[in-house]
Amino acid sequence: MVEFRKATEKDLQSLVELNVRLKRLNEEFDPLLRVRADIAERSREYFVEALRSPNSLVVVAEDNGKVVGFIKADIRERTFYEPRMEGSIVEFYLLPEYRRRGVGANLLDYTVKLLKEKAEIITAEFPTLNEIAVEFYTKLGFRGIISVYARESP
Amino acid sequence: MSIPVWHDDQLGTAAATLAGLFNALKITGRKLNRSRIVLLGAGAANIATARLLEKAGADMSKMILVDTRGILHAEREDMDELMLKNPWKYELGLKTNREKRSGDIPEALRDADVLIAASRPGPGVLKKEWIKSMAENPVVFLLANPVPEMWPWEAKEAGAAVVATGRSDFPNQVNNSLVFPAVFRGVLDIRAKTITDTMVLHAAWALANYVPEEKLTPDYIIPTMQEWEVYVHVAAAVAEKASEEGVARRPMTYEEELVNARNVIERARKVLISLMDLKLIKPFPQVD
Repeated sequence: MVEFRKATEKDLQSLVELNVRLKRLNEEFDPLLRVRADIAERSREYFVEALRSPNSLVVVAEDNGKVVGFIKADIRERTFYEPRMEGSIVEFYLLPEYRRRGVGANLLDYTVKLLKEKAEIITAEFPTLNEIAVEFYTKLGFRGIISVYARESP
Repeated sequence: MSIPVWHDDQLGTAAATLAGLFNALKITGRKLNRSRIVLLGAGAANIATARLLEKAGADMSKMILVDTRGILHAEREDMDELMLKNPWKYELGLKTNREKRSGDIPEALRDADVLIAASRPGPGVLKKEWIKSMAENPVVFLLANPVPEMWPWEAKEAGAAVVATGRSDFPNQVNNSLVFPAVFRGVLDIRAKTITDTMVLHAAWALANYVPEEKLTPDYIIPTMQEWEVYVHVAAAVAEKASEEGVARRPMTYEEELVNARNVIERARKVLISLMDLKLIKPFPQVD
């Protein structure tokens, strides 16, 4: 049985490991997302900060006491647009054997409910070339609103 | 295109391997669905072998694959990379090794009933002590060419009950030439639209069953190419299965293809032998 809950300091090591996997997967999708050598340290700092911040939310999926996936989301104010408060899913990773079983959609659902306490619009960020994410979010009723483009060579 | 397509490095090798394995299991008193199978090497041959073993009823959760990065399991670091670059291996990473054993060949072989090695030429790829750590009377297939992963006598000294290799100068040659000519005979005669995995599996069963149980020995688990009648039986099994599965444009029963294939193969053999007698073509080279 996979269960969802808010992450705590105790999940830090698992979050770091899963985040490293996530960034390496991003690198597989796109060479412009080449992973830094200090990815683990940076991940640790990133989650320490996120767990402390009132404007971040970290949620984990747990199976028999083991963290098997997570979502990290940020609450932001949109300076120019309405609705003003945005809940943005910025990191999302699930171990391979928990995919294609609805666990991801349920984890997202759980996170969105929490985000809705503070935010009116829910967004998600992921690499453009990650077609699996495109399909996942499209199925759940999301669509693209902003694009980030990079030049291949400066 | 509705034509039969055959990848011999995958299907030919896999079918011959399964045929040998079925008989090796009989000899060592094992059931496929209860055997712990280790596949060493995750190239074309073993990926297809794993797929056919699943079709044949092997317990995938007990199976362990080992490649150049060690034991494959659902949480191995390169799984995401495999998802994008090698979805076949990725699927096997999810299905096999439920206990998530990690490590390399020695860890994989502990308590295994069967080893199917199709990795890189030996000797010295496998150590005797690793074979010793397998279950009692294990089955060991050493399929690398031209030199098997370890010498067959080394595997025997380490306790292997049945050993097969890819070589004709050792007993039990797992040889794709036992498979593809017969499969082609069968699929062409019934004008197959495709070749299904079950057709390949039936070819493997036919090849295995060609050796009657009373003739099975640890040194004779698979027919040799000299036993040309085996091709007739394998062709008939393939034709029958294709007809049952509705992929035959001109369906035939087992008995019909048995007669037909025998006629065709016998005629070809007679022509060949008379051409050699007349010295119009060279005799077979003698291999020692």
